[in-house]
Amino acid sequence: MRGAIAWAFTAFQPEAPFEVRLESGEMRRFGSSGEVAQAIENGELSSTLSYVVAAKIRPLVFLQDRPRGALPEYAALKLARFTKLPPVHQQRVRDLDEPGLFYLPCDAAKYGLRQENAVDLNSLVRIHRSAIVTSPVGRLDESEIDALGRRLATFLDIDLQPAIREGVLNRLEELAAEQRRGSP
Amino acid sequence: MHITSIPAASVRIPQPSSGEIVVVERYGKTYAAIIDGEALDLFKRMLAIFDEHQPSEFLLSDAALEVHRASEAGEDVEQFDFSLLQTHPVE
Repeated sequence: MRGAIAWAFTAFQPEAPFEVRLESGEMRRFGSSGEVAQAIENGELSSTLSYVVAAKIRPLVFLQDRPRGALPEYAALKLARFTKLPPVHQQRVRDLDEPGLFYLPCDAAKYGLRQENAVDLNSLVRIHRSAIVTSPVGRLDESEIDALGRRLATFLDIDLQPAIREGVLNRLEELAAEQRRGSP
Repeated sequence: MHITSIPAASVRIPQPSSGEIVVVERYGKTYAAIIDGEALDLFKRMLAIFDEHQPSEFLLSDAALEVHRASEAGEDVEQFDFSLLQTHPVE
């Protein structure tokens, strides 16, 4: 599934006001997460509760393979359209001038989508395999997956510089040691 | 950010008060800015914190945020083609 574009149910993030299903099946609205926690402490709700959230079938780029099938969830990024932007900003997306949006042109043969889209780098979700609605309709190529991964690290605020610096220093030390062994 | 120090006696600049930025304009555009010593210290501290690894939220333009908001609200998303249930069933 790594790099595959497929459609799946994605749930919206629970946010205040929270619609919560009580043990009795009755629905109640809470204005804040603190109020929900208080209701749990008061015994009105069990600690594992049911939020009511909207869900939508939408296209996603899947980021992982699960060859063993041991893990049922996949990390994925949502695809978004950008038709509401002014034309000049739409062009910035197409010109790859928006680092938070990874542009996918309209290419039904490659991506399996009818319209142009952008991968939203700030939309990381986990999708259970049972929530996947279609098999892959398209696929990113290896260079796109690589570029997407690098940008995702940036937008997850993962600082790769120390690891890169350490790798470079280790390699330099290896080269220096080889030179010392080779010199008379 | 490279900082060059020059003696105050060698230039004529207005005295910025605490919390004030004096912007020097040329042809209607910002040419330089003068800040007081405390603000410079704050600027240096912020550089030390953010210079090497800047939080990614700073990279987002208004356009990218607008696309994200609309997408998260499910408002600007390609509509599902139900024929895919036949042509691309889950294996």
